[in-house]
Amino acid sequence: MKTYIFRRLIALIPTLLIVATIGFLLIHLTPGDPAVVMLGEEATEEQVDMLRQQLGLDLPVPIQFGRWLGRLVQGDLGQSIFLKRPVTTAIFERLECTLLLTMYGLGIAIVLGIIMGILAAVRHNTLIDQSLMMVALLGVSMPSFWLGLNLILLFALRWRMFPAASYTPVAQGWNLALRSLTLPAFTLGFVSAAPIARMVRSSMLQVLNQDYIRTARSKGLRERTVIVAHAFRNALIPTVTIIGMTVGGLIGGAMVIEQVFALPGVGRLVLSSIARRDYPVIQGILIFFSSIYVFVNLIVDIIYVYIDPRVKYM
Amino acid sequence: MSVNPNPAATTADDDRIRRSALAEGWRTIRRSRMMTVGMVIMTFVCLVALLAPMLATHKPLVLDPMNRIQPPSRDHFFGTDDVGRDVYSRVIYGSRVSLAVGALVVVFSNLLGAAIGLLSGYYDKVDKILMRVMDGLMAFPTTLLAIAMMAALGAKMSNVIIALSIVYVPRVARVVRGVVLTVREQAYVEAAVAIGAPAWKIMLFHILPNCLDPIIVQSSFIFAASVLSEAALSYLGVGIPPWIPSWGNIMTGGRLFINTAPWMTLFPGVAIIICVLGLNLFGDGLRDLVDPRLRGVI
Repeated sequence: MKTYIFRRLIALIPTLLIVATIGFLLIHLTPGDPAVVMLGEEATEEQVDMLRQQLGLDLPVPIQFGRWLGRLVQGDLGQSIFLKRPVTTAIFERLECTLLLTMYGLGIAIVLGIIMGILAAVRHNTLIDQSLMMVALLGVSMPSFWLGLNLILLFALRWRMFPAASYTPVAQGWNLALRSLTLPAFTLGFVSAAPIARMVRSSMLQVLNQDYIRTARSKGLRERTVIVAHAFRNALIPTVTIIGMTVGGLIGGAMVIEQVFALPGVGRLVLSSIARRDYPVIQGILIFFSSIYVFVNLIVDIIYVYIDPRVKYM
Repeated sequence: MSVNPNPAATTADDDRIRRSALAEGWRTIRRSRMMTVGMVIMTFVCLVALLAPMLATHKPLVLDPMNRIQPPSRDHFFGTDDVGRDVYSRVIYGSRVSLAVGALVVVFSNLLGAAIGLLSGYYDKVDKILMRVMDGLMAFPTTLLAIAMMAALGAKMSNVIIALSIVYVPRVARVVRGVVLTVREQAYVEAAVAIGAPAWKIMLFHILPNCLDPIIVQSSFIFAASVLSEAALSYLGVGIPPWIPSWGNIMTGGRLFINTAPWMTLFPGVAIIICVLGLNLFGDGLRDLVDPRLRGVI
């Protein structure tokens, strides 16, 4: 197992390198001189030269890339031009809200997706199955921010059950923090639950027809044991893959949902940085979250081996 | 070239084949209710986009401050927005923007993705490099990558299309590569190689047609995802410029008035749901027909 994890870690290096390269090239995609674009038309020649020097834009591109990569390996994502702070500091200041929102959303997506999927599979071809799958289809067809706006309208403005747009930091108590994130996390979770539900349903349906399920039933096991311990255990394998893929959607979705609920997270930082043309921050956030996503997928692969002994780690 | 001894018979045969192909197509459509519903919805959305000038009751860009924030009525089916523009007419015209973005993203991501998939499936030498780059692109959370690209390129409609096309290229490339890997081992490809057909001809005329089914299925999902992503990008203010009435932009205008004028966000949202639902139903139905094993893979 250790060798497997080690090999997978080595295999991550080229992927991370490409992520870094794309992230690096991004700043060079800007039409015109990035330094001029960042400072605006009013900037003096001197200011532009200074920024160019500061960002190393006066050097040949391969050397720029080498230096930048060298710093990146040490965990240095560069300096924010507007905030005058390291990009990592700026990200970590706002990470709590985004991370909590993503995890909370993921939790809701997994619970909702699995329950809907199992229910639909067990009640296959009934009204329950069809309506649950219709709900799932609506979930994948709905803009998350539209759902968020409507939830704000109903649950925050009309019925006043949840705060409309405010985040209580964890320091003031987990309860309050989770309550302030319930509406945004539900929005995110519901939209992401749909693919999980569809996957659980279709893999449960495949499993439920197999002989060992009939054996389990015929030896008199309770239906719940058959479904949960025997059938779901095997249906879990493709489900884990789709949950891993969902994380990417959740990270991107969190950026949008933070804007809807005015949450002080990394998503808002990206948008304000776009308005300020603070490219190092945008670049840093892109690389930071993509690396998280890459590692999440590694963890998924490792979990895969644990839950399915048939998968041999080569 | 062989000489055809009986041209009349061949025409009749051709006719029969053509007719049976049509009948087969019709049977396929009837077999999948999901796909049919999806097709009906999409035809409806396309007709709305085509007939927008006839269906709209007002000019989508004309301001009418006297009639601002009016609830839905006989004059304004979906109400008016904060500067008095008719929401119904804007939603009708918005379909043109959203469909254009979706369709162009499908075209560009397919062209590039199919080329990359064909090359990397056919030539082992470039396979490793191209697929690593594709894996790298897929390692980004899609929305975040699109946001970052829009930040670099600038908020313009053409840039939305470029950014989303790049985001979805790896999906097409992987699907096409998968098909190429199995097809290139077939005897008829070997035969084509043996008679000295150039590689590009083999790829375009012998291998690519086999990839069409999964490409069409994938296209419907990319189309759906692009409509949603375009709306999200425009909502965040990094997508289509605010003066163009895309469904995302109409909702952005309404978000500050969600309590007093919910119709400003409700109707464009429903329009997106209808369109994306149609595309997803079509894609799901077609995928089940083409190859039920692909369920969950694409």
